[in-house]
Amino acid sequence: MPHTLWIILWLPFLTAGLIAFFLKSRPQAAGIVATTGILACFALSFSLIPVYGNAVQNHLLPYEFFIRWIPLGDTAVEFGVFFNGLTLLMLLIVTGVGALIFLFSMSYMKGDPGYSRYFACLSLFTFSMLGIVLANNLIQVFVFWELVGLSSYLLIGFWFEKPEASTAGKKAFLTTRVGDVGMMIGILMAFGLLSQNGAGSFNFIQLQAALPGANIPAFWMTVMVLCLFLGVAGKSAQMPLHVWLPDAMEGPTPVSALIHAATMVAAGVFLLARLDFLFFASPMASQIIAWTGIITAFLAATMAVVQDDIKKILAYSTLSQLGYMVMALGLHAAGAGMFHLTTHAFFKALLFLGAGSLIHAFHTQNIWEMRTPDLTRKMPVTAVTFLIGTLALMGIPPLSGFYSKEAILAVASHGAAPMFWLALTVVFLTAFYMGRLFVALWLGAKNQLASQRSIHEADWRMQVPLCVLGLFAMGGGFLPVTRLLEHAHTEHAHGPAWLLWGALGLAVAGFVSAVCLYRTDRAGLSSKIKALKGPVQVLKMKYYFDTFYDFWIAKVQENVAYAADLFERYVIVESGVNGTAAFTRFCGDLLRRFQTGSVQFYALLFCTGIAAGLAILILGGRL
Amino acid sequence: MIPATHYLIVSGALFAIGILGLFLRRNVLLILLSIELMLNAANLTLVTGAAVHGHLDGQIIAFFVMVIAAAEVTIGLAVTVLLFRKSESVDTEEITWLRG
Amino acid sequence: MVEAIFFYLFAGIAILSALQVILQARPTRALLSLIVTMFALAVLFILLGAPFIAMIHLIVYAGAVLVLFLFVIMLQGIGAKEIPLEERFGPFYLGTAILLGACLLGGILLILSHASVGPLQPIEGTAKAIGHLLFREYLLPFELTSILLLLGVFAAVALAKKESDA
Repeated sequence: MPHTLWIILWLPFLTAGLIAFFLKSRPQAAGIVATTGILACFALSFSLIPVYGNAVQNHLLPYEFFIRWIPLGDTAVEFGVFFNGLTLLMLLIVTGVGALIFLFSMSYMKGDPGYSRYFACLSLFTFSMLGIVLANNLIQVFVFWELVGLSSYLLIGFWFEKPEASTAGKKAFLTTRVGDVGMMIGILMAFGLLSQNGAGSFNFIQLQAALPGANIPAFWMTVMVLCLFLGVAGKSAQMPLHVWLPDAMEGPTPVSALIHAATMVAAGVFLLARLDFLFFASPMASQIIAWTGIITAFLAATMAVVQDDIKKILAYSTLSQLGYMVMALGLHAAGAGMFHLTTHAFFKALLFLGAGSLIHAFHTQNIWEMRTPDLTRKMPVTAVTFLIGTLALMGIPPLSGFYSKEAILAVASHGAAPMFWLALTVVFLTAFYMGRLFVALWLGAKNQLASQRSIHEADWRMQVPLCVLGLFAMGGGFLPVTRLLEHAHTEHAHGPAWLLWGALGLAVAGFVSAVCLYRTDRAGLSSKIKALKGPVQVLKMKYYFDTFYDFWIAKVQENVAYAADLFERYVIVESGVNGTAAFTRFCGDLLRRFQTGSVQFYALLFCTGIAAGLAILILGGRL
Repeated sequence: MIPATHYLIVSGALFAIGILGLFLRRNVLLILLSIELMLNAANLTLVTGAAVHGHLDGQIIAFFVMVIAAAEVTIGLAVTVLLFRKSESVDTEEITWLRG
Repeated sequence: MVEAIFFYLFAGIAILSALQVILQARPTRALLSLIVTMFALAVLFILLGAPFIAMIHLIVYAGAVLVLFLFVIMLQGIGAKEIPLEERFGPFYLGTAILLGACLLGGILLILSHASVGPLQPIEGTAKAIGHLLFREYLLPFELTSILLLLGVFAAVALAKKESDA
């Protein structure tokens, strides 16, 4: 089994290297190599399912295999693989959804001059993501965390000639970097606080073993957990570090599907599940995490209502669903959270790929320009699967989203009351903005755009992934996901009896109201009710988060940097470095006076020295 | 009887004066002269020592010192002549080739 | 009694003329002062019972060595004069030099005050006695010094030779 895991980890890296070094000028080959690679990874991951079942029966879990990479006195930084149910789940999701997206990309990115580079970056990303999933210690997680950030940067800024794209890439990298600082601090705190027998550790198993006997004061436990959560917030785009995700839509659509819907943003949620034993130890931090999650979910859902770009709508939707997952994990329901992560991976990737297909056909990203009278006839596969994805996202049974959302709502009902009501509101809003999207796509006015041209489906490589994902979006609710997480402290909660129907009703209500509102008037309510103009503006300005960050950086950080620069230039360099040199030169000048060239003078110095020595000896009584 | 110490004081004074001359004279030849003075002071000490100890060894050594001083003066003057030829002056202020 | 007078007189002459050596501006005068010092020292030698040494001192030192000096001083020109002491060196230098000299003298006096040197014994440093010693116990150094003198002559000739044109 360790060999399988190592191969799964390193194969994408090999393909990335292969493409980068040898296949730059052969795009066709690059695409095939990359896709084959990840399909192989998926096959290997799939083959681990019986192995897992066997291991569970023989109580062999969790399984880890590592090498001592950097010895640190008594402990070491390891490099290894860690296998349990959670790992298996994530492996299947990453490689499975990834394989479909690779296939989709082969057709979507055809003709792009950076085709080979694209697949190299995608393979690198897969390698990094698998590294996080398979890591057995926090430092390895951190290394691959940064690598994932790098891959994301490369892929968001893929069309780097476009200034918005490169800016978005930078923004993503820097924002997640802020979170990563907190994560590093958290990792080091874990190392220090949870040391067993005086030696700290980064290893998950050892940390979990050390936790009961560590007796850490609650305050420091909370601080440590929150620092780690900062990293999660950065990567999974929770408030206030969510600002990079909408901008990240500048990247190619398959990238958005893979990274910003299914896998990378899920890495944070995955880490929360991996380290659930830590989060249990601090109820205060768990509360903060849960509230951050639900607030993100709510605010993101409100922002999605006013977006006109299809990818932006889906991006805010992702933010919202991630908020759900984070909330669930904050409430110690790893099972519900990971379940929703799984189903979300299916239907969100589906929606993004469908959006990609639509963008490919309509050559625009504005939903109001995508109208055509008979979309379903012209692009059947896309239309149907997109509808399936929409219904799954809204949580309509028997599609997968229904089951996972129900699990999350059930957990939320055991939390604070405001949390629960906010969660229900988000159900309504989700249906609302998806309904708006539905209206824009299907219920367009009869002959909208003259340039209907040839709206047609793309080739099989774009259709097959859509179909497969559609199937999973439909039937994913029946997958035994929570069974894989039996080790976690999941609380199988059930909500109040009316939850099932109440949630369904809310979803339907949201959808219907959106349809009614937007059917006739694109602007919805805001054109009718003057009072709504202000709030809509706030929403369009993304609650002024970006404005605030821009202001902060321009006014505060720039000045701090300027002051630091002045300090460095005048105090350190001018006084410190140059000052030392000037002082040395001054001493040298003084001492140079002794080099007169006059032998007499030298003789005088000579005799002075002897006289001094003699004086010491005589007066000291030694002569 | 003059105590030996007095002689030694005289020789010490001569030596000190010789050293001062070494520092204070600017003419190379006169520096050599001061060295001669110091040698003379040493000779006086040696002869006094011979008288104190009662045998002539000190005087023999003084003899040898004289011989060696003569040889040394010879060579020193030869060097001075060379110096004079090179710098056209025997003023030590002019001879600063060791500077730096 | 007589001895004491001689001693103090000639010791004083020796010291005074030594001071003249270092203070005289003209080199010839300094040299002549040194010759006077030599003479005074010769007297002191005789007082100490070393007549042979005294005579050798005068003949070799004052008569040959210093005359040699005189020749070379003549090379500079007879009217050569040195710049007076005060203008020659800065005060710092002068101060240090004089301090050094004073310290040296002080040190010597200090040692002497603590030392116990025996009384002077009457010895006969006649030519015969010294000759006996020289050619018996000290024969080797004697012969070596002759070689030394030869070498000195060679060195002086080699050094002072003018560069040949060939």
